[in-house]
Amino acid sequence: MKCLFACGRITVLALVAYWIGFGSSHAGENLRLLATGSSTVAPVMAELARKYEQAHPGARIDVQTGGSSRGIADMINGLCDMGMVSRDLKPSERVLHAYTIAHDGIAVITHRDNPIDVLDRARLIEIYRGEVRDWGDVGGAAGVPIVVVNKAAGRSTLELFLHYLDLSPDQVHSDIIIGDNQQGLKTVAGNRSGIGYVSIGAALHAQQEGVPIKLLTLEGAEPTIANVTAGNYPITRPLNIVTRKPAQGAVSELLAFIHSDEGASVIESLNFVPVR
Amino acid sequence: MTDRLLTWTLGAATLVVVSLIAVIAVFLLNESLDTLNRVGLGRFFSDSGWSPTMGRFNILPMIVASVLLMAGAVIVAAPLAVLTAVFLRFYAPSPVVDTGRRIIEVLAAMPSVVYGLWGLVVLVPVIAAWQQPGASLMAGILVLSLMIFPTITIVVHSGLTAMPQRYIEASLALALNRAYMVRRVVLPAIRASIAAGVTLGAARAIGETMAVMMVTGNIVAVPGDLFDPVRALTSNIALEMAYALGDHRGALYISSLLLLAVVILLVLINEFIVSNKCEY
Amino acid sequence: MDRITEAVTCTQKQENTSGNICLCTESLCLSYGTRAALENVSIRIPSRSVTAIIGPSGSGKSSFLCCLNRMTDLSGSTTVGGSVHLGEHDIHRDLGKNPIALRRRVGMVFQLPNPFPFSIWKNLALPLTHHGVANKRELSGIIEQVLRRVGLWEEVGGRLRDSALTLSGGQQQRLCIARALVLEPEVLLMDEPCSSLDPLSTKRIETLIGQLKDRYTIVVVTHDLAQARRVADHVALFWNVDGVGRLIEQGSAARIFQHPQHELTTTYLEGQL
Repeated sequence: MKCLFACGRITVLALVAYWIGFGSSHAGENLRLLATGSSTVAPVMAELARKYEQAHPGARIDVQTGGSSRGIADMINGLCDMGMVSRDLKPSERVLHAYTIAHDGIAVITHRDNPIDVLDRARLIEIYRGEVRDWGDVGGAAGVPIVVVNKAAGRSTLELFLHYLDLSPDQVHSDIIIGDNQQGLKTVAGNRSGIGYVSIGAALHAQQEGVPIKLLTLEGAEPTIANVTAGNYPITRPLNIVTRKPAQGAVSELLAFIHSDEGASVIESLNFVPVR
Repeated sequence: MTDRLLTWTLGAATLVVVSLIAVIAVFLLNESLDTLNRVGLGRFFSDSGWSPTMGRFNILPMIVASVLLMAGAVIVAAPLAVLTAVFLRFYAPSPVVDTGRRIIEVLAAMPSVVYGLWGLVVLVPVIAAWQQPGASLMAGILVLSLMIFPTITIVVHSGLTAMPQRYIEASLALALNRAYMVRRVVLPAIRASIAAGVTLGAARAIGETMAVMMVTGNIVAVPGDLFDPVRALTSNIALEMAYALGDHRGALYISSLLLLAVVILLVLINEFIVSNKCEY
Repeated sequence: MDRITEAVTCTQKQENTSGNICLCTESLCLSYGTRAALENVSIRIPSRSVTAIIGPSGSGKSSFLCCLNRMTDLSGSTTVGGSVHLGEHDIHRDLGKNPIALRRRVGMVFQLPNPFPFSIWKNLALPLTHHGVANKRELSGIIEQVLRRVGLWEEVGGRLRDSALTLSGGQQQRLCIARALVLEPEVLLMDEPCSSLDPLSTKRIETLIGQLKDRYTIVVVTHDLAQARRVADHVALFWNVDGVGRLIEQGSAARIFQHPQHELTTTYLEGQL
């Protein structure tokens, strides 16, 4: 749960991180890079970094999470070498350079024991607006209240999901607000009447590990790697690395590694779709 | 000569710590000031809600949540901790004392994330099976009590161990039985230790971030009952500081300043209890 | 070794105490774990008088005192042999498993004054409320009475709500005596009660002991022979024989000081004179 350490970031730590990140980019032999941002990108980045470090002794890449907005903010403030952002850049952010490293979708998840397998967009909107509060009203077990798990503001998964439902944050009724993907997965896995949404890659990975969750079919498309690759799944997004200046030196070497076959296999092993 | 050296070293160390605290306080104040001037203190308590990106800054529900979490945890943990410490000091056979104390020390040193994870994976589902949504004020209080219980126990137990043996001799020679001695002599005699333990526990409870964020549901609202989700000030900072800009960021700094003030207040209250030597 | 045992039995037979015997022990032995501290102590303590327990350090004086109100129960590893009688009762057999009834009848004052860190009032009221005195007026009555008895009323009567720790050492010790008296014990055990006090306070306590013996049986351990001469009616000399405390000689103060019968007593008295 690497992500957990970063969320409680104190400014003093940020200053330290700044010092490490800033000082080290110029360190030559002992190369150190700091990546911060999206908790969806972080596990991919961490695994890629591990492989890269093995191939390049002396290199060290630190990964910290805090949401895509942190990735953007840290990059703008010069606090990191790479920002991790799990969505497209907004017009106001276009001063940054984005490099897509993989594609992902957002899966709607419930507890494994929930009889529901499919939900359409209209039902989802009703659920997230708090208009439907009982699973019985959407074809599930009657009398079981729906516990709506929502992401905290500033998370790109939230922005994308609400964009898909065409809702503003104010319109959403949530019962539980969670931080990162892992907390979302554990919350839904621990609540038989919960509904939430997380990165498809993270959800599939958790499911393989035996976490009792179920990924719902949305608009007839199952949330699978194949459907994301083929563009059949309704909520997809790019996972980006952003930099202030066009990537050069160590960062561009790392990007080259990510786009190599070896990088692609790492990304696939984590259930994301690599960019070829 | 060595004494002077020691004096200087200790003095310097103290100075470093004190000035660090001062630097943090000044930093927080400095970061808050712009926002305070622009938004005004009143709106932090009277706005219609908390959505800082839309200019609404009411942090009152989160203050209420933090205080309720702290108070609840202390109310649950403090009596248990005092009873445990008394048990270990006066009632438990000596092998139990040693293992008991060691276990409690391990519990006290356990990272809060571990408690949070336990709360998220075990406690919240249990509460959810009873009262939805599970992630709630109740879950937060229970996880925090579990966290501060060992802290308070250790401080109180140290107080009991450090208490002069002659109070016990005097009690026994006066034909007091053990229960009465504990209640009327021992506990009053170590109330400074109890106050210190509770202060430490309360400060840890109100400052706890990760564990609370994982189990309380993080909904910004004044809870109607124990099973409603709440968002603590600390969780709010952790959830939003990463991307907060402008007055939003300032508001989070004001929350931090508020937390610092609460902790200072706790220490002052403790100081007052300790210095107030004689009862009635 | 033989000679000493003989001498002990000898003195016991010879002794002819006047008045009632309040406390007596028969072949009392005490050991801490495997280490013997007292052996074969048979003593007779007459009521309403002052018995001084004298002897060099390590002769088991304080250990002996602790046997009399079962403070020896405090550490789990002690074993007591022989018997202790308080009046007609065997304190181990007749007074049951719980030493509380015994301690109500046998009060104790320690070497260091040990008032509780509470007010003077609470120090004195605590044992009373525990033993069933709840009425405020009754409490005040008893507290005033015992404070007068130890001569503290004039000094602290007006500030009973002050912390007992604000008193001087001598006052604290008198407060502890008063506290031991609130339960109206028959016996008052005092373990070197003046050893931490200045001469003036010592004198006050000694005078107090002289006054209290009309109502209580007092056993006072002291290493100060002059004090024993000043306060004691009866004296018992303890000695460390091969690492174990033994009673060497007992008798009236006058006889012990003027005609000691055992050579250890003679040596001890001369060494101190």
